[in-house]
Amino acid sequence: MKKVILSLVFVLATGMSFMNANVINGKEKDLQVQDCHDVYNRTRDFVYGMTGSLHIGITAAIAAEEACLNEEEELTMFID
Amino acid sequence: MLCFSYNISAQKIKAGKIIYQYDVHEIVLDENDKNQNQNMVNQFTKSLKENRDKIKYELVFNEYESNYKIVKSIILENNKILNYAILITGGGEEVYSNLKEDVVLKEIEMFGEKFIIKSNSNKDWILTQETKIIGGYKCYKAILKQPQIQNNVKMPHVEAWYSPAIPISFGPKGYSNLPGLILQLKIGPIVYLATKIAINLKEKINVHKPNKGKVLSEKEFDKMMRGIDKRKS
Repeated sequence: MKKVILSLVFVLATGMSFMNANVINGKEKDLQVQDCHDVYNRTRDFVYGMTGSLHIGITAAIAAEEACLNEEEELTMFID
Repeated sequence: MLCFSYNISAQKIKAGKIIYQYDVHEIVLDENDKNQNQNMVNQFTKSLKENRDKIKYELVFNEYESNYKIVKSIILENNKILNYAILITGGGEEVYSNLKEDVVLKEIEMFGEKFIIKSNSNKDWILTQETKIIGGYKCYKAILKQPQIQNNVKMPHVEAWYSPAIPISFGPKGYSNLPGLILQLKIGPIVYLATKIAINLKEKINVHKPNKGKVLSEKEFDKMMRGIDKRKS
């Protein structure tokens, strides 16, 4: 089973990832699509809670999830 | 430094332009959220702080109408951290207010489509006697009454500092209906501060009213957003 050190990402609206913004420190974990869903949910709730705008929260979360999924592809390629 | 171009006391204001900039305060997390979200908070704060001098917002108004939007000409670069700060501070929105008709129109572009979100202006303010001086003007604090929790998320505290010495009822982001210009608006950790005020006591100016896009009520837009959210999560 492929293992990676997973760093969940908090990403910028346009898709740039801030690596290690949300870190599961030092724990090895299988990288799964569900992790990016978690990034989506956490980003949405955090940004919504900071701005009071659901629209801004969801926009940031969509970008975060997309960047997370891209990150996952890169990690998979790297492991291969 | 706050810059005023006129002494406006006891004169009727016909039009004007206000520039707002933002700052971000320290975010204090609940104990339960600390471990999970501290890094997210650090990045959020850092990206906003790094770009606070690059982003400006402009409020243009006449006697009854105002338009608030980002000053586009100052965006000279296209970096992603900057775009994030613009998104978070509301740069993707243009807000029109009409006090006479009690209407607020917020123009938003999503997925390549324009929407105009129609609502009423804020009226649920709690006026307090707390004061502070901003740019030489005595300002009073008002707190927005709103639900504490929405969609299972704790909403940010909203407070406005307005000056009765500048008797216009507009402010940033469509917040209005206070007995004076809002010189400072705090939404959660983000503070919007008037940094330049140009008041015109004679001329009447035209204020842009968004007219392109699908018109939705706040409720309809919220329902649409929750539909998108449901599909994503």
